Amino acid sequence: MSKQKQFISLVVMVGLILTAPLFSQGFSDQLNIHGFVSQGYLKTTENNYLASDSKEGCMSYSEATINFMTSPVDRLNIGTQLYARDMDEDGNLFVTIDWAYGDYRWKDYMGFRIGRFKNPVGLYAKLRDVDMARVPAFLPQSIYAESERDLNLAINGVGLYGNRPISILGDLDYEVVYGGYNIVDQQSSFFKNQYYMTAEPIAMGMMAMPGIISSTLTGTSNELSTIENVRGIDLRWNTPVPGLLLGSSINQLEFLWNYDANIDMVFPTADPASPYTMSQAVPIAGAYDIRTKIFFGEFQWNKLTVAGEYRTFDIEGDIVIGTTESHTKTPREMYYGMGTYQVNHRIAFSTYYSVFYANSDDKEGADQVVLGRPDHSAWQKDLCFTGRLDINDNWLFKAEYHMINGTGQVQGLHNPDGLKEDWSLLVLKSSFNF
Amino acid sequence: MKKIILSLIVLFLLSNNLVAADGNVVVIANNSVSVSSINSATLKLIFLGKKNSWSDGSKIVPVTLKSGNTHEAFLGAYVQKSSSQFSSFWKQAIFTGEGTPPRSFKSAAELVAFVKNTSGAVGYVPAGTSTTGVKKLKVE
Repeated sequence: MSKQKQFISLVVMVGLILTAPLFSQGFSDQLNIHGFVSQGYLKTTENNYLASDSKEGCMSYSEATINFMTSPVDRLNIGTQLYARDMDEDGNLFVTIDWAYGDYRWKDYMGFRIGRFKNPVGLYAKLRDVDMARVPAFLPQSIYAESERDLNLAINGVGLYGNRPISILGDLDYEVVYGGYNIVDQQSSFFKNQYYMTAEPIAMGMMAMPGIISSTLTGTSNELSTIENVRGIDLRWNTPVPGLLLGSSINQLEFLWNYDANIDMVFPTADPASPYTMSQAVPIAGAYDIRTKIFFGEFQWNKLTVAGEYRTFDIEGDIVIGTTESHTKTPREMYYGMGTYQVNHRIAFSTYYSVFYANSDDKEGADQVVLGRPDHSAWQKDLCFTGRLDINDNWLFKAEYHMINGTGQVQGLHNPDGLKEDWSLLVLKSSFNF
Repeated sequence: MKKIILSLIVLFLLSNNLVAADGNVVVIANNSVSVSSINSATLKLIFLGKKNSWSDGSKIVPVTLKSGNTHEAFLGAYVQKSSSQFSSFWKQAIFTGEGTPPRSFKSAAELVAFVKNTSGAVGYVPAGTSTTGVKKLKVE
């Protein structure tokens, strides 16, 4: 999308958001219109996180959305949501279709969806873009990593869902999905970091070539990536214990990508002042099978909500570098526990402890050291405290503080000068919705 | 000690029905609704948008009060959520396209009037509210 089109689409969307409350009242029986805008501020110590300038404090954390829903005939709902986001290099306020689908609820125990809809991967996966529906500004990053938002967000495909009472044992919600993803933002830091993580070791490896002075990764090009054959199931058992929910999500997908890494190599010549420089494009392609299993529980009792999730995230596949093929397998592990207390209608507090391991077979980081990275890039442990103030029914403010050990989810691209093990993150965020 | 723990567990499991038992909330429905009683598990499914049809196949139209003690008592007793948790649940549904929240009313009188005139409607009001023209549902 050109800058001009981007600007026009953003202006149209902001116009819709500003005027929609007027229209929505007039057509409330036929057409439901809702939306929100939010603006955040990030400030970190020691490491840049989610943005290349968070250590200085940055405002590049914005979201806006508007949706339209209608029910043209009984049991059928159709709707769409436009969404724009800015998170440093990600999004840049490009207006995208967040979801757009038709939903036919044939029976209470069986409904069908077709189109683009949210992928049910975890207890709060569908909350990640709904700031008003949760207390934390950032959901636990071990499982709901902002930097990997593109990977598990929405699916283009078909879904089957429903609810079935199971006598005295409560009731069961289920959802089964199949489909693929759009080719997501190729300029996002998520993809750039994937390339960086793969290509950087290659550049470093070339240092072993005889006579070479230096070898540097200078960029990537011709990026292409698709996510195919997404298969998922989500089960939620609303137990007979009031407020207790137990469940699991299992999801599998194929992630295909390729690009050319540009590597600059410097060789010595007879004149030390004029070394020979050669730039080489190294084609790299990968086909990953990514399997996610999540087990979760949530307990709501009066004003208190306690929740926890445990997730395994296995990446297995082949990487082809030039003509050399290699097999890779990385089991990730992550979990968190969270408590939320709603003091009154306006004030709520939340805290969570979130743990991420980049490789559950290397929790101490020995393999990271071999790759030339600090051991603490093998994990990330985050203790978070959040306060939420609802100024009125439409406008809220959040203040959040994270004390973090480890850099497993900190992007190297944002920290060319290296990573520090202990750091903190302050998030201030305000959202308006209607 | 075991008896004390068991008693506490039983008390806890029953605690969410205490509000219902004290009779402060009356569940009402449009006269077209064929049932005369309803169980609390069904009420929960209806107000969370998981049950959309009465047993005769007609559409269920749940309605709520916007706020207040009766609203809190009903949600706590039958939906097992606080009003904030209930609001969050429906915010998620709105912004994922999975549903629209029940229509809400500022006063019990407005709610009764809507239920009276809307086929399949079901809602709740404080005990003592005039319910002329609608049927009261016994909650089992």
